[in-house]
Amino acid sequence: MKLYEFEGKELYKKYGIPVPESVVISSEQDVQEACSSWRGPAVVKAQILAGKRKKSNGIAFVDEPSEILKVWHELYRKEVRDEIVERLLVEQKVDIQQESYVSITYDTRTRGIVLLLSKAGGIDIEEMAESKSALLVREPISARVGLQPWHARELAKRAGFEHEDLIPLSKVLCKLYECFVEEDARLVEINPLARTPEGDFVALDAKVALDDDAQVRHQEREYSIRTSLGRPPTAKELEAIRIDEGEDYYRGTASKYIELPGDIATLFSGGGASLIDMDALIRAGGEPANYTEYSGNPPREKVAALSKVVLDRAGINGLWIVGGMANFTRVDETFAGILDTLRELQPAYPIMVRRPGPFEEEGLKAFRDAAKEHGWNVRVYGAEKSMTDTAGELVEMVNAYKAEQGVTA
Amino acid sequence: MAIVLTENTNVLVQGITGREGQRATAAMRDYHTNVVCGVTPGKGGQNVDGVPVYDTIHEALERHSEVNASAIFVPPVAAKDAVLEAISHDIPLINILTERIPVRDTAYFLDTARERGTRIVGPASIGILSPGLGRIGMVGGPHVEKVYTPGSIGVISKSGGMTNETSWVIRQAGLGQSTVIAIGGDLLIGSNFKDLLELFEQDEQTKGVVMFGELGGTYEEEAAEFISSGGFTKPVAAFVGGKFATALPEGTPIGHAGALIEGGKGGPEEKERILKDAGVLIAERFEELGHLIGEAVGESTAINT
Repeated sequence: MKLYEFEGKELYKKYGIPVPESVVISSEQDVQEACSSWRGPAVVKAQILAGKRKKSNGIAFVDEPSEILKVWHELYRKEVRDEIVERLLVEQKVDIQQESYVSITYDTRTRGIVLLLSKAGGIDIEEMAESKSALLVREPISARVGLQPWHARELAKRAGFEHEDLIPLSKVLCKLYECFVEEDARLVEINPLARTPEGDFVALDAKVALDDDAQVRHQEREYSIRTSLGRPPTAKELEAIRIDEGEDYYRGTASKYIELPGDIATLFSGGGASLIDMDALIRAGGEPANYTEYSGNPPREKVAALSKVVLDRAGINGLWIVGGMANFTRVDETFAGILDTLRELQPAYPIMVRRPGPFEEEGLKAFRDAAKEHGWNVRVYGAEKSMTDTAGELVEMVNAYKAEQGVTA
Repeated sequence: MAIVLTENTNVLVQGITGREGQRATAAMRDYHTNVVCGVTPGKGGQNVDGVPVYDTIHEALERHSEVNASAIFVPPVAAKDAVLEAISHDIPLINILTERIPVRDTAYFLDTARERGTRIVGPASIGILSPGLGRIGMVGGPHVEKVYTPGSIGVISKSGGMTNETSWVIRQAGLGQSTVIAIGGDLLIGSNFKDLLELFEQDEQTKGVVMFGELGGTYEEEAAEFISSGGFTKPVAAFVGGKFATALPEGTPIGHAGALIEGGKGGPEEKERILKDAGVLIAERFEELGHLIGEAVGESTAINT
């Protein structure tokens, strides 16, 4: 889960990393209060999950508090980098002597934690990696040993910081590391990390991504539910997320759902299969109504709930139920969940099923029997038919159905 | 000879009394695997279908010194502790089947494993299978005999379900498999494509390798670098899933925890291009993998289409 800047800064503050004084505004009343109580120049920043806000006019500098209102009108509920702005962060303007960069994340090359530090900051890390002038120190950190103060000082020195900066900077680095580990983050980044004329290091921005798989260790968190899609979650996406909540959260996964504008509903099983199936459907000319994946042998109830999320909407002209050859996910059990929902909704559109795996005979037979009983337009396959082929067949069925219904493509 | 899992592999199951542990134990024993004992803290003295259960690995090894592999089926938050227990007792192969382990925990035990020289496969691996010799986990499920037969192709897959599908298209092309390894789709994993190509290179039975990759991370790129540098000299065919995800905003995880594009890197098209430049055969359609590798090793005799 990505955090907004103001949430990231709250975390930094918790670990003692200096951040500028600030206030979050999300209503007219907040703006009025900010205009009357704020003293001095401020930076006003749109709170969105995407980066590159400066280039997209999502950041404004104001000299007088009264100007906050003007910025509010320019940014509130407006789109910045395809995201609707719901909140602004008003922040004390800091005197900057130098802008630097630091981040801590996991690196697949070293298969562990890595710290990136550059004396020159304020630009994107991608640009920095390409720029020859910026010296970027990239250092693996042992997850067992952690970041020790001597190591932090050494890295600061290697990155070219002056000797008087080593101790204050290494303190910030160690606190940031502590935040990364204790909060189960996947990324903590400060860009820019400002050095003030007084020699303090202050986090002017915060980019934090948390590990969803560690949520169970942080039950006290109260972040609003969000997607990484650049828009707030739809009602259906929220409904899907709730499916895997509770004590049995790890007993199968059935909450992955992204609402899309197409007309072919999908119920994929298996993370890997879902990738190639999505690609195959688009290649075959189909337009997915959603991306969905369940796996890990989820119980019938979870699959029924997910099917409901996927299918209980208007504008569906076909359904593709497809998965690779399951290892341990039971086809009969998961299909029972899908059938619970189909019996309730009684679809007229064509349905393509392709799913081998444990208890496949029982599962596929139950599907055929239900289709016969209710007169559904269904084709059911096991391993004899490839996943990719069923995508093409379904698209033909959907086109025929749409022609019958008089739906124009 | 197979790699990683051979006829001399003797498996200890951690979390043997849990639901998945019990099912997997039965599936492993159904397919030639030597499952010698299990561990569940607090349940020592019990047995699972005749397999003895101990409270600690220490105790299990006192009675079964032949154990040389551990299969881990404990819940996610208990996984780090279980893996560290196995590493501390120098079990040389640990296959982690648990999904959704926090990445912080994975980084910690991978660090420990590197120092001790322990091979880890996973987390979130569906298992390892060497046709005719055995399997860890439930790879193949009930279709194991239909899909797997001893042969010349090694399989490495980030996805559990696609491990079977990939092996199935190889079988449909008239070929068999040497060893099939589900490495898991997490961000950090113990054995990546390159690590296993290194072993397949040494394995005489293996004439070629098929890889199923996904968007995200650098494991496909590292495999390409390894092949380019001459570390792997046999034919390789690959498919990288998740092309549609390039249309989504960066950082959107799709399917698996490691399957996301970050910092403009990790897109499937780019991965396929890098692999292709290294001489890897890239399947346009996933199902072409079988014929591609079959032709490359000169053994393709399609049994059906």
